[in-house]
Amino acid sequence: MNVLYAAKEPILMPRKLYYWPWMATAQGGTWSWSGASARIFGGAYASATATAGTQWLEFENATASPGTFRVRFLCFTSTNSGIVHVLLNGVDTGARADLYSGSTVDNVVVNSSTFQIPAYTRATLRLVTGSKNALSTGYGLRLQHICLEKVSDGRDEGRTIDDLPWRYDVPPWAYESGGATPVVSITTGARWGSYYAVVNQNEYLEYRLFLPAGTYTLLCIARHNTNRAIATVTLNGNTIGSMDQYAGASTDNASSSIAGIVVTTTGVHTLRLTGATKNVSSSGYSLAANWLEFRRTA
Amino acid sequence: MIAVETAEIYPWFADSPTGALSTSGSQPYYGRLVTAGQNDYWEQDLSLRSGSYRLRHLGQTANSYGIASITSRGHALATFDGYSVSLTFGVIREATGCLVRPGALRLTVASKSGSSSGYTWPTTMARLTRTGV
Repeated sequence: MNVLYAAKEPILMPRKLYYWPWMATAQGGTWSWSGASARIFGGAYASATATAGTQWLEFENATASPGTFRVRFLCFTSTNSGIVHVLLNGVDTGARADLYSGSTVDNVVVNSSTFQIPAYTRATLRLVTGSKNALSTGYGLRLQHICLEKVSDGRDEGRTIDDLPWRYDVPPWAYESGGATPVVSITTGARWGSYYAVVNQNEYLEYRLFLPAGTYTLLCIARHNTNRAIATVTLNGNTIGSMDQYAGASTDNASSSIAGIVVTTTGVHTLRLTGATKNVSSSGYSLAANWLEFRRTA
Repeated sequence: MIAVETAEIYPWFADSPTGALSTSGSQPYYGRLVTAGQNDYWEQDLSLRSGSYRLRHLGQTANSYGIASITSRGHALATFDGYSVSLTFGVIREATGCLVRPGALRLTVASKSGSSSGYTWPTTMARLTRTGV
């Protein structure tokens, strides 16, 4: 259901924004992505050891109202992990999170020190291993999930819908019923650790998600393969593009995108991916998704 | 009020958890929240638009799991029984018509079925989608 809102209706901003390392807008240094470990939630993490300041992840358009914030990391700590520095628009906030520990500790949540955001912002969040504990042997950075969290009370109201988040996740497991029931495949090398797939021609994956009015890019992470379809992608029944999931060999974590998606109304929208056609080289109409994300661009 | 109308909940970033919070697991597919005893809970503040929501919960079931009660500002939304004879991954639970208000959503392991040997409750993630006023 799409809803038109009155112009002066109050706006409530979320106090937590979540980021998957493997959905970073940009990254620096050498990263590896793996999921074949009990210490990894979601089937993926980013690992790096290098010199200070060369390893970083960046996420654009982090919206925040004035207040006190911290960044939280689901990660594993180890003897060669560094200290994460939190930057906004290239400026060091002074917030730090030390990921060093005397031995490897799996699946822990480490909170950064707090920092102030003095005014409404839509900033680029950068997380960089800028230094290290004297006991650490390196600048390793293993992040599974990230949360930018407001910790001070009050002033959560936004000024316009542009203060609402600019990223909206679509977890593939949260599919709508009505079509074929997707089959889940657990894949240790895959981001999010699994993918959901429908098999036959014209079957679809359908999701409902909130989007403020704006222009978006849709990103889809999926296992492409020799039997994949071309996904016809619709939003509220209107075709917005297609994604060819065919590959000459099984390829985990392949990325497809559709840019320039104009959303004219703020509200809950229906996204559908249908395996209607296929690449001439493909042997089938299977359609898969590990993760989907709408990223606002304007 | 304008606010987001879909929201993901990740238990490892929850507010005010009691009990032992663990995200370890033998399968990469799930992160798990383990609540060690009866009435342990986690709570998550949500800045959602008020309305009727569909609640979905991704987790697993086993013979040692409890029954989770989910509330929004004290109002009951859903109750899910985590008991099953054998360990089953990737179990999706759903409740519709959940009246959600901005504020804390709480999951409490309040009880267990007679067949279960414990009160463990694992959550990979939960999702709320607004369906009406």
